[in-house]
Amino acid sequence: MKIAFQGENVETQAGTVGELLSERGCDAKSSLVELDGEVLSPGADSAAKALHEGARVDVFKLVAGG
Amino acid sequence: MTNLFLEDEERKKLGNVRVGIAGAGGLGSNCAMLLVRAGVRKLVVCDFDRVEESNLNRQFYFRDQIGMQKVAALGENLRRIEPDMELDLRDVRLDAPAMREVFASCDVVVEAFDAAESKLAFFEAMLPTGKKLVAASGMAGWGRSNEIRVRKAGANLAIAGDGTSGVGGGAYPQGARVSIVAAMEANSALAFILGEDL
Repeated sequence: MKIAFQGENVETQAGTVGELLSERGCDAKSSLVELDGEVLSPGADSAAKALHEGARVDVFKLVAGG
Repeated sequence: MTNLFLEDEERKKLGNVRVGIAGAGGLGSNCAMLLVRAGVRKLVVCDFDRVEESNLNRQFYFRDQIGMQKVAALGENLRRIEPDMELDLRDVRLDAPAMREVFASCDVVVEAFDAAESKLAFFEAMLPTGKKLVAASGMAGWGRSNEIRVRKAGANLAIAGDGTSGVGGGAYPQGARVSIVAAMEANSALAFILGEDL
């Protein structure tokens, strides 16, 4: 299906947020995901969220420092 | 009265709002200082650490405060800017349940942890509350100022930083870039409070 990932239109085989992160090489343990304008609470529930045609997904990488 | 450049309505909003800050290191201490200078008068700040010499390259502490609890030292420094404030300073290590309890009365909460797993725990704890949240990711090293920005996520979250420059593996937190991100966090919190664009 086609989705918008980080603002770009891409084709994906992933059916869930977790599969998409894996496909795109993002570490789920250090990623915050926004799906269709909603920020998903980290954890298993967010990984299982289903994607749909035209979904908008943005990933925020969390790195150490402060 | 520290900020003489406020409209009455702004002074009222900033004086009444309660801001929580999770962590009082490079991000938290500088963010707190900027919020108080702006006119925020109610803060809840949590940190379990003590001031060390290695902190002085970027954190809002002074040499004679080495060894003090960070929240105690920060309270001392903030009161030098504005003595008349409601400061709730807690010397605690925050886990998810503690975050929800400690920041329950806050309107806006700033994530100012250094460890990535603590940042994740912050989101796990605080996203479900629906509060306005400000966070940071990516600020190690030097230069590359224009790579640092604020990204809005959903209606209630702003994330400042370059999103990639983590501390570790030879990359260190330096005062200039950490302060830029701390200022962006403070500015984002103020924008939420005053209803301005991020």
